[in-house]
Amino acid sequence: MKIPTPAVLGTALVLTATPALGQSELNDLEMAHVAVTASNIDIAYAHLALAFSESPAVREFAETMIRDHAAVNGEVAALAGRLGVEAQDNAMSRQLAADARAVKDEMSRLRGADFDAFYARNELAYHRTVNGAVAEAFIPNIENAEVREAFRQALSIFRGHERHAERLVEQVERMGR
Amino acid sequence: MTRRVRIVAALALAGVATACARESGVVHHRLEIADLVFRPEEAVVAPGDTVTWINRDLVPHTVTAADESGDSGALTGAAPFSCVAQPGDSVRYVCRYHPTMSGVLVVAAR
Repeated sequence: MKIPTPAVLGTALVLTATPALGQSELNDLEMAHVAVTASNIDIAYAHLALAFSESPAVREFAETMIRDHAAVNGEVAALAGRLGVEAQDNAMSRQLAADARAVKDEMSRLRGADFDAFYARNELAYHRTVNGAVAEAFIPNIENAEVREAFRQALSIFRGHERHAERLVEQVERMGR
Repeated sequence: MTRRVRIVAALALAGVATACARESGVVHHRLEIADLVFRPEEAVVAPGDTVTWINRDLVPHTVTAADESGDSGALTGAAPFSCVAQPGDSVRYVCRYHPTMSGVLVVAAR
């Protein structure tokens, strides 16, 4: 199974831009690992938001990211258990994690409105990038039907997060004026 | 919006409500939550009807009156939420966790 390089990638606006995303050849178990890694990264960003932000809108968004991504990861683990397989670490997952460390370093230096603006814009860019990869590079190339359906359901959730992030960006920009 | 529909937990109804099943003039409506959408987004019911929401998503949702006068708490696939429509006006509801989601329950006599 080969994953083509989608044209949609490389459009992230901020530091989460991950050129490697979607450019590698991954099997189902490696794609599952990338998905779990991406969710864990977003959970980590959300914990920073809960630590540093006083904005109710930002905090509520962060709580939803933690709740939802943990639920999705739980479903991935349950599916892997049913199938008797384990997600496989790979270069793309490692690249995502490395990129996220840089983002968290930057985020950790910010406070107040600067933090909120960075967090909101990063969430929007991150979800756009990951959703694009999942829709155009991952799902069409997943071989196992159950895994494909799990990705489809997860994508519907993450697209909701993208819409939520768009709203959050508007909110923090209004607050910053 | 005048809120006259009470969203109350009616756990005894969970699991017995079916999509628009009629019993002694009372209709049981089954609504679904899937892909971060209330389906249907607008439902018309009669006073006394029961309405049950079933969450098909991987993540929890809530059915929360937009005026915050009623709330289902976190709904997962294992725990449907039901209410009895009271005579009166429509109610708009949202998911507290996902503010892009909303639905309307219209209560009108048959």
